[in-house]
This record gives sequence, structure tokens and C-alpha cells, in this order.
Amino acid sequence: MENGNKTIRGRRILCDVNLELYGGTVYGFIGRNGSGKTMLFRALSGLIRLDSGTISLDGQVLHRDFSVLPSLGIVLENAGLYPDLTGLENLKYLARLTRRIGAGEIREAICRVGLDPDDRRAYGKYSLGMKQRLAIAQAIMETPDVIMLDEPTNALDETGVEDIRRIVLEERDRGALVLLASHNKEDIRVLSDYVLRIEKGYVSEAEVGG
Amino acid sequence: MIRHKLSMLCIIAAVGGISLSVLYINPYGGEILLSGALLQLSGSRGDFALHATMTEMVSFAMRLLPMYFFEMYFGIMLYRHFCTASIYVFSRYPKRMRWYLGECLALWGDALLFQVLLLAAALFTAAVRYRLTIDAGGLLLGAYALAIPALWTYAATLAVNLIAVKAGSSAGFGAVAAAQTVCVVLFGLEDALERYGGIALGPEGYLLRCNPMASLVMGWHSSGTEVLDQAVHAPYRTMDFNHSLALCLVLCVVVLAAGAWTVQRHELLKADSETGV
Repeated sequence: MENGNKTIRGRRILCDVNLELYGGTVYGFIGRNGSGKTMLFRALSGLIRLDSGTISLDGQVLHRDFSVLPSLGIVLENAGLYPDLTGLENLKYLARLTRRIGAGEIREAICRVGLDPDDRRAYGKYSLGMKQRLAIAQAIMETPDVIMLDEPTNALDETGVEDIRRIVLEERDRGALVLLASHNKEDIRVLSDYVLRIEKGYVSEAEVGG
Repeated sequence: MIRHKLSMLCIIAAVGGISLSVLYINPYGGEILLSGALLQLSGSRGDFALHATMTEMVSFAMRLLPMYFFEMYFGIMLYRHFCTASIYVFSRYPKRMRWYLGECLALWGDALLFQVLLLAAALFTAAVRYRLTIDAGGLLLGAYALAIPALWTYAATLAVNLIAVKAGSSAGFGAVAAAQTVCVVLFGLEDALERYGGIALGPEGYLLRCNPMASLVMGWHSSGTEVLDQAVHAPYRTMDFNHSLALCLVLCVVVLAAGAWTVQRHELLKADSETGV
């Protein structure tokens, strides 16, 4: 991202943001609520447009050469899936949009996050932790090059947190670029190769995770 | 993405159709023509007057309840579908307009099916209770009684979704229901103006035409088709079936275009803050 700026309803959400991000790395983003973390993810993914500045991937410019990142898995806070469908049906519907994977990979992704692909309960009946796990399953199921996780361990129990941390590291080791926004300092410390702080739309480098 | 969509549609249509039939189809002597049944269903009793009384208004508004239920259920479900799609679909599928048009087409199918089932349930109930005779004018009238309310319901449901994107689902449905209710109340005002000044209908009936809800009342219409005019025998030649059809089509196009603009404008779609869905 080069000189990224975004203003919504008169409020500057992103201010002159410059970022250079590489695959096989976990970038941790910290900052208060409303500091611009989620908006940064939306902008980087292509879900919203910047007012000025450019986002490019391997020399190709977002919203000029492509409209969303071509290989992306994303989890945003408070963004749920279809409440009437089971976990498997939800992921099958989303997978049909790209036609990159089949039922086997979908089931595997669900198992990876510790859920049962044969669970017949509708997503609406899931606990918060199960919803979070399924959201992560949809983000990783297509083995995307870029994974954006906004508060991925929210509502998870200890086992869930461990599972998700393991998955994040596995995805990084596979070569994916992982962007992680979290209020959980331990997540950031354990997972991040680089830590960036967002404050009032400005991004600056913070301490490196260990 | 609504698992029980079809069953919900059938329930609203069946219960609505049977209720409307029982409440509003009451022929003299136990015999009724198809055209007569359709006219009674749509709120016509052969003249314009709604009489500006609360009873009359409530009676008219109650005919709209099945449509309101459809608009509420499908409008809100569509909104929630948009919320989920705004992240999980659009991050995978960049052809937003294609996706949007596909969803709108599916909704049109639902709105049309709903109107077919609603009319079928109402007429079947009438046939069970009375001697229902099918007439040629009734068949033609049935086509309009199907198309005009289906388009109206479709536009209103899309409007619920559109407003919900900006203001939340409760506000979305509330605004659309309120707008329709205001139109019904305006009939009372138009009735008063007609009684005391002959203004509402006049030579051209422009005031009545200004109320889009009037397009739903079959008995206030006429057409160039003799068999249809004989069936309807509207006392006022102010509304035209084809004009009403065109009006509803224009409403649909306007709401569709506004929705397309919204979907293209990336910022407007966001997660449903009400349900987390």
C-alpha cells in the first residue's frame, strides 16, 4: 500500500499509510477499537476503495488490474455466515463461487479448526466459539496466498486459541501472507513476525514478536 | 441462502390467501364470477369511495397484510444475505453486479410465486365456499391481478433491503410499510376531496393516479379491451391497467438501479450489526 488514505463521514480512517508486506510472514496489527485495523483490512482486500493511494500485488494495481485480491481468505469481526445453513453447506456455497476446491478440501478445513463437517446443526445454532472456528475454516479452505484475520481468537476457549495459533503458523510456513489484528497481546507476541501499531489511521512499526 | 424460504413463502401465501378470501369475498346469492372475486380481493366494491373512516382504512390496509409479511421476511432475509455476501462472497467473487442481478432475479421468482399462490389459495377457498364461475374477463383480469401486485411486492421488498443497508432492517421494513400505509390513508383524503370538490377524480383523475397504491385496486381501472372493461365496469375511467403495470415496472427498475449503485459502492455494505450475521 502506498500513501493510502480513507475518510468516512468526515473522519479520517487511514492516513498516508505505506506498507510493504511479504508472503510467509505474519504481520500483527495492534491498536484501539476504531483505530482503523478493520478498515485497513477491507482496503487491502479490495472490499472498499481508498480515497487516494494505491495497493498493488506483484506489480498489479488493485481496482485497476483486479477488483479484489485474487487469492484471499478473510475473517472480519462481527461478520457471520448464513444462519440457516450448516457449517458444511456454508462453506460449500462459498467454495462454489471460486470453484477451486472440492468437498474433500472443505471437510478437511472444517476438521482443521476442530469442528465436525457432519454436524447437522445450522450455523445460527452454533456457539460463538464454533462460529469463529467456522469463519477461520472458510478463510483457509482454499489455501489462499493472503489471509486476513480480525480478532481470530475472540470467543474461543483455551483449546480453540491453541488450534487457531497452530493454524496461523502452519499457513505462514506454507508461504501465506498473514495479517492478524488482535487485542490479545499474547496472540500478537506468539504469532507475529512483525508488529504494526495503528493509531488514528496512522500505521507505525511497534515491537517485533517473539 | 434461506433454507426455509419456500416453506415460509407457501405458509404466508396460503394463510394470507385463505384469510383474504374469507374476509373479503362475499357474493350475493352464493354465486360469483372469477372477475368479481378478483375485484373484491383487490379492495374494490365498485366505486372509488373509501369513506374516510378508520374502519374503512383498516379494512383496506388489512388486505395488504400478506404482502407486508412477504416484504418483511424476504426483505430482511435479503439484507442479511447481503451483509454476509459483502465480505465472504465479494472477497471471492469480484463480479458484484452479476451476483446482485442473480439474487434479484431469484427474488422476482419468489415474488411471482408468492402472488400466484396467494391468488390460488384465495380463489380455491372461494370456490369451496361459493359457486365460482370462470369468465373470460376474469382470466384477463387475473393476469393483471397477478402481475401488478407481484411487481409492487417485488419493488417494496427490494426497497426494504435497500433502506436496511443504510439504516438497519427494522428501519428498512418500517419505512416501506409506513410509506404504503400513508398511501392508504391518502385514499381517505382523496375521497374527501372528491366528495367536497370533485378534485380527486376530476376529468383526468390525476390525484388518484398520483397515489401509486391505487394501481393495486383492480376495480378503479379500465382498459381498451372490451371484455375486460365489461368485467370490471369501473365507474371512473381514471386508471389504466397498462399504466399501472408500467408504473410498477418503473418502481422496480428504480429500486433495482438504486440497489445496483449501492452494491457497486463498496463502502455501503457492511456486517449486520444487529445480529452479527
